[in-house]
Amino acid sequence: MGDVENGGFAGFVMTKQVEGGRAGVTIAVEVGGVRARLRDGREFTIAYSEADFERGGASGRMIFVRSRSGDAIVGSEASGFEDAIASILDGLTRARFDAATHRQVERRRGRRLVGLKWFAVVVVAAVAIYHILSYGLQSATDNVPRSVDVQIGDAFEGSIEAQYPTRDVPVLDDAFLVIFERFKPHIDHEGFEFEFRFVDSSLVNAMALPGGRILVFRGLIEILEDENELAAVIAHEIAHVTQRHHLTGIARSIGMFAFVQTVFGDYSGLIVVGVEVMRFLAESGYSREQETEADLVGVSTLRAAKLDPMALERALRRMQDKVGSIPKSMKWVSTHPVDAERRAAITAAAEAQPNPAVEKLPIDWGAVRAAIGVVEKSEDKK
Amino acid sequence: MEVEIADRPSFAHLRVRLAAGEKIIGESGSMASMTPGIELKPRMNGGFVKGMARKFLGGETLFINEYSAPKGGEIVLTQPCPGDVECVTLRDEEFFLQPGAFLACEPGVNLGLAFAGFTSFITREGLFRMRASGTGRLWFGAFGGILERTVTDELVVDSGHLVAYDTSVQLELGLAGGVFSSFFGGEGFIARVRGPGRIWLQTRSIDGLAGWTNGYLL
Repeated sequence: MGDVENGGFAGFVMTKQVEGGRAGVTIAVEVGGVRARLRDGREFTIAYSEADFERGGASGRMIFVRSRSGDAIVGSEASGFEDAIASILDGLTRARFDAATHRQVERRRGRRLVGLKWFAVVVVAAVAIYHILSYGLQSATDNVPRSVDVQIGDAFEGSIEAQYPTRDVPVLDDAFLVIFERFKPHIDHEGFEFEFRFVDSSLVNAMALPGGRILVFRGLIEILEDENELAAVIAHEIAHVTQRHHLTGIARSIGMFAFVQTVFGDYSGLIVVGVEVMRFLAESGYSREQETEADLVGVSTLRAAKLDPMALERALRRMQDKVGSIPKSMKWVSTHPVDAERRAAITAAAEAQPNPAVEKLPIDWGAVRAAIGVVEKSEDKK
Repeated sequence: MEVEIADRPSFAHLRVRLAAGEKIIGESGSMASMTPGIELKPRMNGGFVKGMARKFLGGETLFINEYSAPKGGEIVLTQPCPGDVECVTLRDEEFFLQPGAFLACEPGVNLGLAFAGFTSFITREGLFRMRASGTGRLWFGAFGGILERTVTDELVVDSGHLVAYDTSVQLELGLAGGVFSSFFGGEGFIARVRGPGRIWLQTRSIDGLAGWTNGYLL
């Protein structure tokens, strides 16, 4: 409907005299009142002296003219309708019109203010509830025995083993042991069952399962420069285990269910559900906060073990060069921090404190790489 | 065109008898049966942009179907949920429908989309609503029975029950009671409907059914 039709304003009339009680009309604003004309030619007139005025409608901009007898209501939100009536009215009638229409505006503003206040209250309450629930879930997770992590890891191992079969490589297994023994005095390993396995896959990856099993892929070892970088990646993965990121992820995924289960000490259900959720988490990965935390804990572990913390930054850069990074434009949808950000955070953490002199790991990196079948470039030349 | 709303109110549907040359617009997927002579022409209502808006913002389907009967015929149109169907006749005026309520209309009725405001969104009535305008009959469906109310002053409506209303009706967000009684009493947010105008309410709400069903699934 146009705003002005045939010299009038598009609107409607509500009256029992129209079939259905309502019809669209063209409204003429005249000196004595408003005249609503139906398409079939019938007309209804409401005199201003016998009318009450009101503002409302779905848009809040509709002006109603109600006959006091209750016979008819004429309304329009066409632009210029309100001004047209106001320009014709004078004296007490104009005052009544202004009071009625402005009162509605003030009322609407008042309600909007109240709405904004309530919105603010709801936002603050939502943030508070989120933090309370996060704290509650974290506390509940902390109280779960570490044996639960191990059991979830054991139950999940089957499906991982089927996807990524592991094999023994004595030289590499010895290297894992050397690294872990160096870390052991500096990590909270009680209750976890750390075990390091080699996966003969070209994927550039390392993966920690709940409870302490850590898988290192051939593709990762191929791109790492030395044993310090391998140790740095392992420090990062150990941090995922000791910080119990898997259990936190499971708890967040199943929310109150986990909370109730843990409160009542029924961990069997948690293990069953946890394994299912782990399948999902294995695909989706850790949260941004968890990755960052694992980096920072990894840096602390490396420093405490008298290894170079910046080896983690270098390892991450090599992985990024090999597999690509998350574009910065996609940061808002990613659960992982942008790699450049991670590396900057690692560098800042590594430089925040003086690092002790590095004590070299007794690992023959060339022998490790040869054991898994990496052909060195120098050998190619030969 | 003769249209009968049959099997009211629980499983209402439209039985439409089209005379030769007549047409009816139906929501996509609403056709249950039709005689062989009826031609079906799917089209985007108002073009691609409006059609997409109807689908993704208005809760309706991307296409609407135009059923025409060159030699006459009969068609049965149904809605997806059990409940009543109501008819309003637009006389050169505008009318609002909640998302998913539209079932059918005569060709003289135009369908569009209008922003419903955050009040409507918070009360779970949708951020957008369908705007029907023009002249002709319009049929819409609901979950459960349909109540028509003419609101001259104010009426309190629980969220999820509003189906259709005149453009002269204003919705205002409110609480059913105090903060405690509103949320612990199970009513939460309500809409204060201010007239003058007509509103149509459904006696059941899908949210209510979902909540009731969830109790048996846990």
